Amino acid sequence: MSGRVVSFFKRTVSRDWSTQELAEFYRVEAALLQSGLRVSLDRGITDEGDPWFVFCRAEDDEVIVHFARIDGRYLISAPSFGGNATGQDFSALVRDLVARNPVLRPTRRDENVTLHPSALLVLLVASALLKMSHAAEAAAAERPAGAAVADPHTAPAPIRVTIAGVEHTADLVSQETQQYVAMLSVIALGAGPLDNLSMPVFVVSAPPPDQSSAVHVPASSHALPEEWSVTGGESGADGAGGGSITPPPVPPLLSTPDGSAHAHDAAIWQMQPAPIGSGANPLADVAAAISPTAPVAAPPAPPPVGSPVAPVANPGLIQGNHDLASSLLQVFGGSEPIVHSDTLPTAFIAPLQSSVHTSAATLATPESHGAAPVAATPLMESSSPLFVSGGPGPAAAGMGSGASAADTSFGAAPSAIATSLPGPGTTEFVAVLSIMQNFAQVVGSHLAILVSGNQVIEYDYFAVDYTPTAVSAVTYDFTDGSHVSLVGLRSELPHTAV
Amino acid sequence: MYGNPQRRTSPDVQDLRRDGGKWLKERREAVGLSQRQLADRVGAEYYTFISQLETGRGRIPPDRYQAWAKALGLRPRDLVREILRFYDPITHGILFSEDADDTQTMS
Repeated sequence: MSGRVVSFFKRTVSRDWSTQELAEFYRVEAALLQSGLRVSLDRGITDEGDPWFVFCRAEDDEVIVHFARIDGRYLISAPSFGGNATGQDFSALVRDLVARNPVLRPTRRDENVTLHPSALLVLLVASALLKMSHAAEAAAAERPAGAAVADPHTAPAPIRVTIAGVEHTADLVSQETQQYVAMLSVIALGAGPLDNLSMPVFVVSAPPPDQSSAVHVPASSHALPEEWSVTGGESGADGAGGGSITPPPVPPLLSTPDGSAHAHDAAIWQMQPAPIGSGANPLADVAAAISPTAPVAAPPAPPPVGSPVAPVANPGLIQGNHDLASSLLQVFGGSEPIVHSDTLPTAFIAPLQSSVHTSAATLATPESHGAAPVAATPLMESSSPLFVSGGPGPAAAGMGSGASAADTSFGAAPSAIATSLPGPGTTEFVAVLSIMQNFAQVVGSHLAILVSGNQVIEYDYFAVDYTPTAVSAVTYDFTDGSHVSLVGLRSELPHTAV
Repeated sequence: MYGNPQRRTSPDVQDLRRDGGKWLKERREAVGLSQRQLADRVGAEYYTFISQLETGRGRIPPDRYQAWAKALGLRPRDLVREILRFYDPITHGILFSEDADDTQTMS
């Protein structure tokens, strides 16, 4: 699945859904249909001009989820969720609803999986559909919805799924759950065409010996890539009614045929955030299974890829980077996502290791490098259909940023923010900001921003995901130890002298 | 003319639902209510739901029939009869067709 997502942050002059928003809804439909979950769509405008969009169950036209934007606030209503969610931050609403209504739960509470916001939207609709179907089944069988099926001989066995190294257990025991899992696996992989469901993308645990086998693997063994191994057969071979398929050491979430990674899909977001108000850092250590590489030999060295970023002693440094990222968000009209991650995704290893480093202190003015300062003009909305992460994101928890998920006030104009930044002088940040703006204009709609510890990475996610061998990086090192890296095609990068 | 109501995706059924939505809209406008006003009177949690119903998607919750009838200036049974015509034409035909009182005995 591509990493393109939609900006639900900025209202257009027309109160109808924007083209990009509609495209995102239809993308959800496509994802569901590809996974065998049949839905129909409809949309409309109220007599006051507010838009709504519904997903309906195909077989009986029952509304699964109702999306609306009323008086500037988004609403998501799903009967099977038992309530509505409203707010100005669409991404946050989706995350919250998915978190509150999981179909799959991590077996261990301290584990989690991150997914792209687009994927979360698909999961939300799929979850609502699944719960609706399960409730209907329960009603038909005259048993409480959510209760396990009583007959072990006819009912599917509990499903455990490992996605990106994290084991999950299905809450709902039903045939639809298996379909949901297959869809989820494809989404988690971000593995291109959704019709590639023949790829076994997860490890399925064998059910206990006394339960009938319902281990569901969406592919036969001959569809396995060579590097995958099969133990115990696909089903029943181990005598316990189940088997397992073991992927290669690199988590499938980050694997591609050429060994590189879908950083854009891997760098992001929570399928099941920590419980609301828990304060726990919900980001999964997706890259934990990846062997750490040697640190990049450039002072100050960025953290080893794959290892958690060490806390920076100076919280002002993080705040500085967040302000820089926020200022970019403001400059770009609020249409860019800012990704926060504890670890650097695999796809950035090679380009950052070979990155050209430049001391930001040497950037007196952008003119000194032959580049005129770029006016802070927002990107055209039609060229940048992207979700907004909804504020500083979970990685900012504990960093003292203070911004809420619904915070749409991103502070003053870039120049004002630059003067308030600690450590580096104003000139450093303004100069680098100008360079980043230029890069953003060159990259256009494929732009994304990753904040990891004391490093801000602005990158062309399309290039990183699909042409990783053609990607390079330039890094600007600040005197306070923070870095700003631009990652993209060589032709997109500024020619900044070291 | 109508499809099996259980197969609600058939074109005839979809047409019926849309006709039902149009009827609701006409009744609402006849009593001079906006969608938001009607939503408030019938206890809908969000007024876009009214627009959705008037498009022919979803249906009025049965526990709201009384409120809808009152808001639209109809007797509850008149509202239900009309609603059934669009939502469940089979049942409507059995209950309200001219032949509804005819009985046929199985010999």
